[in-house]
Amino acid sequence: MLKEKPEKLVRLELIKRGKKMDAVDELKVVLAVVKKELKLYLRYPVWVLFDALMPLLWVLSSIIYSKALVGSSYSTYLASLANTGDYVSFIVVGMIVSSFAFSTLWGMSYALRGEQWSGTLETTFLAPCSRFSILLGKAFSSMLTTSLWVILQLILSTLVFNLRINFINLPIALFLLLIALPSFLGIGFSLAGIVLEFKEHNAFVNFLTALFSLLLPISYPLVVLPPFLRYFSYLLPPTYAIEGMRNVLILDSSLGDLINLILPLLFFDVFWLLFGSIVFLMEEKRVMKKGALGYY
Amino acid sequence: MKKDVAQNFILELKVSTSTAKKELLINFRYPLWVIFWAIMPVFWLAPLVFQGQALIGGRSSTSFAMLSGNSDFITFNIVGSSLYAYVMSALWGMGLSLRREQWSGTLETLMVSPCNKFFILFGKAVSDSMLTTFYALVQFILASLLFGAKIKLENLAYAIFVLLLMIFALYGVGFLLSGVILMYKEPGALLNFVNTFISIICPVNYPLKALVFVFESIGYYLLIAGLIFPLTPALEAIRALLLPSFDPFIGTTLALTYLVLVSVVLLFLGTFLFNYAERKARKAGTLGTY
Repeated sequence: MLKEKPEKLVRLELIKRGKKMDAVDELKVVLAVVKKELKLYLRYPVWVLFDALMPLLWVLSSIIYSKALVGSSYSTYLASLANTGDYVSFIVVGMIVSSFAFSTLWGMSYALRGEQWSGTLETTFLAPCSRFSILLGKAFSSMLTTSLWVILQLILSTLVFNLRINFINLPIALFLLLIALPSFLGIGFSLAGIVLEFKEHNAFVNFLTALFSLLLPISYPLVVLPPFLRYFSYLLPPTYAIEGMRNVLILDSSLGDLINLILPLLFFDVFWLLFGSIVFLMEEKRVMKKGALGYY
Repeated sequence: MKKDVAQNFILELKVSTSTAKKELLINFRYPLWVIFWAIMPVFWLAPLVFQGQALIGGRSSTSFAMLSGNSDFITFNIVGSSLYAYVMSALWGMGLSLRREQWSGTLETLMVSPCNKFFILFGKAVSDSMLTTFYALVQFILASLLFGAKIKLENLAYAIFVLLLMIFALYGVGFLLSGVILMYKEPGALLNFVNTFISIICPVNYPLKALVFVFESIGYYLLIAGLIFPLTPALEAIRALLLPSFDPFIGTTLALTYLVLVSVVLLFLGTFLFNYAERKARKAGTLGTY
């Protein structure tokens, strides 16, 4: 007597025969990739420890430097430029948002490069799901771990350096981060496409990280940058996210006050998602044609 | 007998020069990397300069002057960052040099060559120092042109002498790390942590006394830990020689004496650990394992 096939297997059979996966299936792929990436990440506890410690050390270094320069915990000059002289909160908020931005931007490309190293990229790309589900899974797993370190950063900065931010406004800050997220993902897609084509991307990522650290208002307001550099800063979505988060968490602004930051973010969301997807798909097609997808 | 020793020594030195030549040749086969490492430190320095300007509105900080006698934080940083390049080189260059041979699958071949392995390491260290000197020089010139640096040029020769002492001490650190990496293989996380920790406890971007100023009693322990690492006495002595009105935490004579002593100790320890690690790896048969 034939056993009735479970629904899961029937769906798998249909997908094998060419039926496109629906949104629920794609979401399951995203979750499966997140789970896999987290499992892999936790298999290297020394790296986990290092990832937890490093952002703390960077904040520490920046705060010692600031205090050595100013001599107290309040800078009147910074207050004249950014409406707040509390440089600890200013720097911590800048570093938190940039951590999120960097983890989304590089998370996908690093993970794809990891698949190339392990020789599993071709197999992964043979799966009958959207490539973007795989990429999103990789980005979200990287964001999840970053969130943990950011929370740790917030707690320790509050305990050690008396961080004074408006914690009640955290939901608004998170909402702002959600608005910025599609643009970060879009840039991440294009970088993932670049990795497929050019493989070794360490120098490129190092260069972009240093360039972004210079152009983004992480530890200083944009007004101190030379004007020609400032124009480039305004082209980067994390600039608006950092400024917005500072306004919400330090200056107590409401969402309505941030419309001049939200509108450019929405524009960048559309632009980068479109541009990033096109770049990734084009690079994928090109690499597939060359047969170089699995090349190391 | 004496002639044999001298001849052997000359032959071993040839091993070092050949290794240095090979390393330089490989490095210059990747011109983009050379340009990248020459320019990147300026990108790391620039945010510090802008951060300082945003906090105090110029290049002169009274708080910096109180902590170090020198108020010009930009020149302070340019000197600190240029010297820090040598620490990066000891960690990522010398420390990783044998790991790179493992990656290329050439470590075993190298280790069966009939020479003293110390001279291979020495050759790698010399090539690294030459490259780093080039990077530090480019960084110093570029940063001085972009942000302006006020240094006492008349003391430059003395400063170079201190720099050479520091380089020898860092050779010891490099050899130590080579030994550790030979034993434990993948060092990325460890090196990243050591790299950042050194930049915090040593006066690269801020005066040594800032640690006590910020952390009070705990700061003293951090300060002592910082003083042990050769970069700190070298930075104190070089800044005392080059920066007008810099008031070092330790006197220049003391810093120089310490650098000489620490160079001997670290070189001895480094060579000892490296030999031990090599013997252990040979015995376990893990020299070439990836």
